[in-house]
Amino acid sequence: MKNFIKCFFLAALLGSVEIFSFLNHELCLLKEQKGEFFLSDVVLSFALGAPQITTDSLIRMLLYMMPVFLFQILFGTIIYQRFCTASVYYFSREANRIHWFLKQILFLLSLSFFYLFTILLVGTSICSRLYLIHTNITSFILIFYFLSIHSLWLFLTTLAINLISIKAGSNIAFSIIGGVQLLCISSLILWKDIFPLENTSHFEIHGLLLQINPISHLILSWHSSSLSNIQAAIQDFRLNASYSQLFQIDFDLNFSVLIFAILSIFLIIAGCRIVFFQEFIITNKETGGMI
Amino acid sequence: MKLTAENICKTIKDRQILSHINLTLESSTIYGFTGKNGSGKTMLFRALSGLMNIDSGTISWNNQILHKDISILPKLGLTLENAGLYPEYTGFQNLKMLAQIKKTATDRDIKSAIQRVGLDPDDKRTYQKYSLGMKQRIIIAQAIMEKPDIIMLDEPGNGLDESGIELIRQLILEEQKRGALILLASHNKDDIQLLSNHTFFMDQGSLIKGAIQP
Repeated sequence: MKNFIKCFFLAALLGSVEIFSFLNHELCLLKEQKGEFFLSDVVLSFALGAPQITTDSLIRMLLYMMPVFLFQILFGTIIYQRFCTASVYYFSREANRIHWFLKQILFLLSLSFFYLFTILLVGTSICSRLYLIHTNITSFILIFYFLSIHSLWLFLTTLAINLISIKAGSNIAFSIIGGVQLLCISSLILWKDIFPLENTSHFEIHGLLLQINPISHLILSWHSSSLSNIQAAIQDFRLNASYSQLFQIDFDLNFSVLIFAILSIFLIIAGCRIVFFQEFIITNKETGGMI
Repeated sequence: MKLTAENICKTIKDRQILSHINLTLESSTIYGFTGKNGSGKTMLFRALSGLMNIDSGTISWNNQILHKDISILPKLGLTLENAGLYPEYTGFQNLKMLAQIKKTATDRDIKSAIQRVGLDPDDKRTYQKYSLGMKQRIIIAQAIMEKPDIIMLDEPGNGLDESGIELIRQLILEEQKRGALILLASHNKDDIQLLSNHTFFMDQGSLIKGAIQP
């Protein structure tokens, strides 16, 4: 419960900050272009907006990812810390380590979802006080996709930090996962000149290559959908919020959910093996002694 | 009730940490283990408790073989050096979460165990705010709260003041009277001499009986 309370206050703060700082600019631009906007526009703004592939845009993306990084810092060692305790006092009472680990997985997954839901809820509530926001069924479907994709990303990166911490300590874990995320964001610049998505006959291959970068799956405005209303909402947002560049990237929303779900399952299986075979942690590597 | 270890060996990263250990331990007896740092006392407790797999040999409790007939020792209370509880919960909350695994200890048992180690069960401070001595006491409380048949205490006197050490010694003798089989690892010669019925000296993973006479 304490962790959910901590999560709530951080998420509420970040939701407010995001609306007043980064998103206000995007939403003002939308209002100028369209005169009005929908809840789907707010959701797409929270889902990293409609970034161009420029240095400025990628730096802004880093700021948009701040809630993700803060969550990872806060909860990136929670399962690791609990394992230090459980490896003696829990497993001497209950031999089923997998059962314990799956309970931790459920906890982390719930926390990830709750965190993003709160950010979106608080941000949208504040936004609705500032602007008139229209709602429709499309918006709620997009909320579902936003929460699915972004929660899974938050969950699997935080879980990865925890698992690497069990094996190698949290400093290495944070370095690896933080480094990978920064590398993924900064490497998007390759799609400006090296793998351009405009004025080239290879844009399909370049678009496919982009799908290897997990950060690209977080940008909902780079997606497409077989549902016409969703497709229209995304296209409309892209037209009005994306300042000049328009990409025909068209990741399928369901594909992004599937990719992150598969990665999560893979990590859970890896985690089960680690917890099963890791006999003990001699001392917790953070303080060198009793927690 | 009997805990036996036959020829147990364990190697970690080319270093033999347990070497041909043979033990026969019985209820209502206190066994003292002493030895230098890194001699293998904690690893022995890990192996006997089932938390660590052994490379060879067998460990059995009442003729049930560990990792074959049983996965862990059925009624065990354990403290290990450098292993803490969940930092964000109070002492009582920590013990209650552990008690919910086997459901053999009631809230009354938990509070009684906490009081026996000289702490306040209603203390609202979280574990991370405890002093080292308090942390040690609450960990001992978790080891005794379920009235286990086997109690393994690894350096129980760590961080305790004189009155605390005296309290824990008394507690160990009470548990022995209750019929528990007690394994006590300590650098404190007085603990070993005053409490142990039998003593063992560990050196580089090997066990020598009777190095310090009670």
